[in-house]
Parts: sequence; structure tokens; C-alpha cells
Amino acid sequence: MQLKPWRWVLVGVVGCGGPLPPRPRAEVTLHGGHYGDNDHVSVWSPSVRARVPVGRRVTVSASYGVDIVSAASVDIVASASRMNEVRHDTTAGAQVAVDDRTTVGVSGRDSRESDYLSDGVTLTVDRENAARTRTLHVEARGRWDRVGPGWVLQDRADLGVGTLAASLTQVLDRLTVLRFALQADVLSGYQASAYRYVPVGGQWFTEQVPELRVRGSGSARIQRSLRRNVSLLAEYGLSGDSWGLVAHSGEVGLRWEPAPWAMFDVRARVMAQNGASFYQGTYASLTEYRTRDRMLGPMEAFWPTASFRFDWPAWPAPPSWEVGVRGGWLHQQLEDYAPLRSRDAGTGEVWVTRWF
Amino acid sequence: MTRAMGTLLLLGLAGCATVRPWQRERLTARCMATDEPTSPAMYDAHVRAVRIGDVVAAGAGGGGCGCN
Repeated sequence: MQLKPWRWVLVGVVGCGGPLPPRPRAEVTLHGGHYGDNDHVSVWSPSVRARVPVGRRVTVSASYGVDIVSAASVDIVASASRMNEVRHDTTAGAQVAVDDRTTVGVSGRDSRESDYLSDGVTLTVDRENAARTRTLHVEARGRWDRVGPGWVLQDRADLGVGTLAASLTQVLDRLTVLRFALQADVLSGYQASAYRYVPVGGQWFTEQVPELRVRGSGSARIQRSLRRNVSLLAEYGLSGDSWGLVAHSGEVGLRWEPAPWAMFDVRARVMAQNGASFYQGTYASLTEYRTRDRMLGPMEAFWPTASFRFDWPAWPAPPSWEVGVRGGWLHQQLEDYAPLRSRDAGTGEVWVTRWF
Repeated sequence: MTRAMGTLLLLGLAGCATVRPWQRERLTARCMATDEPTSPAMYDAHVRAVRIGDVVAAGAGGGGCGCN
């Protein structure tokens, strides 16, 4: 029998791999999220997600969710003509266990709203060492976005995004796990907002930002078991880009299992950044690049959250059901943005997962 | 930044000990599970990326804006 080369590869990956991994279980998750802030923005985000094993080696997954955005923030409300917008987000993918230590995956994503389309593909490889104390994860992503202006994508502009990311998770000792991650992104194309205008000397001009943005980021995270049912985590992240924006972030968290069927998770995240080199709170004269995007200005953010999960049957049995709720408060301090000095938002989530 | 991360990586790997399977009871506890790409974790990363531009390594890979 003659097989084309790509079919040999397929046969090798799916049919002739190494030892079989444990059989995965099918799962379905219903998730609902809400974000509401003092900038008149409210977002409801219901979604459904499913993972189904197909044989011992292959797992397929899919998800569908929407963001229902009400109103518009203070920087673009003057030019945004709709008060409600819906973003549809669909993903589908497959993971193949090459052997009991190696998994490769591919997934696709489609995001649609009236003035923004985005399609992307992600390739992943996960590999554990023989002692199962180290996991390497490598990920390549590509995305193609089509951006307004105009509610029907007339005179659209394109944006291409390429990402290469890798992480290494290492067991340090009987109580501690360490993870390092690095990521590089290249964004090329239209990156301004079609609805955001910049005042210069009493007149309004369209926003202009460079078409190329190269970004690098890294993070280190440590997780340590304090007691049999308590663990602590801490993470530090640093990112910088070719626009001159440098951001530091940190997160600390505590997990506590008061019972084999319950878990509390408390986190606090902080982030601080300078502004992009061309960002100015007010522009006295016309410049090549100009923006009113507050996410490109100097800011600090603080986001504490708390969640509770209920699993049944109780640990260590594999759960058949999980119900979770999470609430948080997101505070942003905008250092050089006259229309809004600070923003406070409440975030909430609820989810139900069923395993089969 | 690369040099600092590399130094941290070397220090971390140099300090790790061999942990046998029977010594991993505390590591396999549920409260030590890493953050998998579950729906809550993906929502968390999406809110961070869209609302405050906080995109660190191993963060959100999402597309679209949803950012009024």
C-alpha cells in the first residue's frame, strides 16, 4: 500500500505512538461572567465548553461564548453609535497523546462582532520528562484580524499577530513547583481605534499609532504546599514592547481545602506600567503618532478575587460535578488621563462542570 | 530581562531535588493543581487583557476585541 508522506506522519502520531496515557473523561462546562464598571461599561459573558475523548489518544474540544457589551467607555462614547454590541467567540481543537508523556494539539478560533473579525490557529506541544518532574510547553499562535471602521466593516483594516510562547514547569522538592514562561508577540497592521479621536489645539484628529509592535514578556511563578490542604502561590511578570511600554505585574494567592469537596481560592494581582513613548495626556501640537488609549498611558491596577468551588464526589475520587463562584474588584488608577482618573469594576463568575 | 530570567531559571533548576513518586503526596493534592486552561482561567485572562492590557507570558491567546 502506498501512503503519501503526510499520511505516514498521521499514522505515526495516532496509531503507533508510545505507551497509552490514562483514558481521559468527557466534560462539559457552562460558564457565566459579568463585568461592570463606573465607566458605564457592562459585559455579560455566557459560554459553553466541551471536551470529548475519541479513543485513548485523541481528545476533541470546542467552545462557544458571547460577550454582550452594553454602553461604551468615556473615551469613545462620543463617536460610538450603538449602545449594545455582541461578540461571538467559537473555538475547536484536538489534542493527540503521542505517548504517555507527550501531547500535541491544534486549535482554531473565530471571533466575530459587527466591526471586528478575528481568526486564529494555535499549535501546542507538551512534553514531560521520564521522572515526571518537569514539563515543557511550547506554543505557536497566529491571528488575522479585520477591524472597522464602520459598523459593517467597510474600509476595513487588517492586523496580523504572531506569537511564540514556551513554559517550563519544574518540581523543586516535595512541596514546591516552579514555572518559568517566555512569550514573544509581533503585531503588524492597524492597531488604533476607529472611534477614538484625539484633541489637538481645539481640533479632533484620528488616532495614529505605529503599525508594528514587537512585545516580549516573561514570568516566574512558584507554588508551595504549606499544609496538606493549604497552598501558596506567587508570580512576577515583566513585559516590554517596541512602543516603549514596560509593565510589571505580580500575583499572590492562597488555596485552602476546608473539606475534601470544597476549595477556597483567594488571589490579589497588581500591575504597573509606564506609558508608550508617544502617549501624552494632552497634545499641544500635531504629532506623527497620537493616542487617547488609556491602556497606553501610565497606570496601576489592583485586582483581588475570591472563589469557592464545590466538587462531588469528594476528593480523592474523580469528581462528577463541580460548581464554582468567583467575585472580584478591579481598581485602575490612570495617572495621565483627564477624562477618567480611576476606574472601579466588579467582576463575577459562576460555572458548572459535569464529567462523564 | 532575558538575562535575569535565564539566571532565575538556572538557579531554579540547579536547586531541584529528585522527588520520587511516593514522595509526591503533597504535590498531588488538589490545592496544588496548576491553573489549567479552564473556562474560569480563560475568562480571567480575557478580562485582564481587554480591560487593563495585562498580557504576560502564558497569558491570554484570545482574539477579538469586545473592548468598548
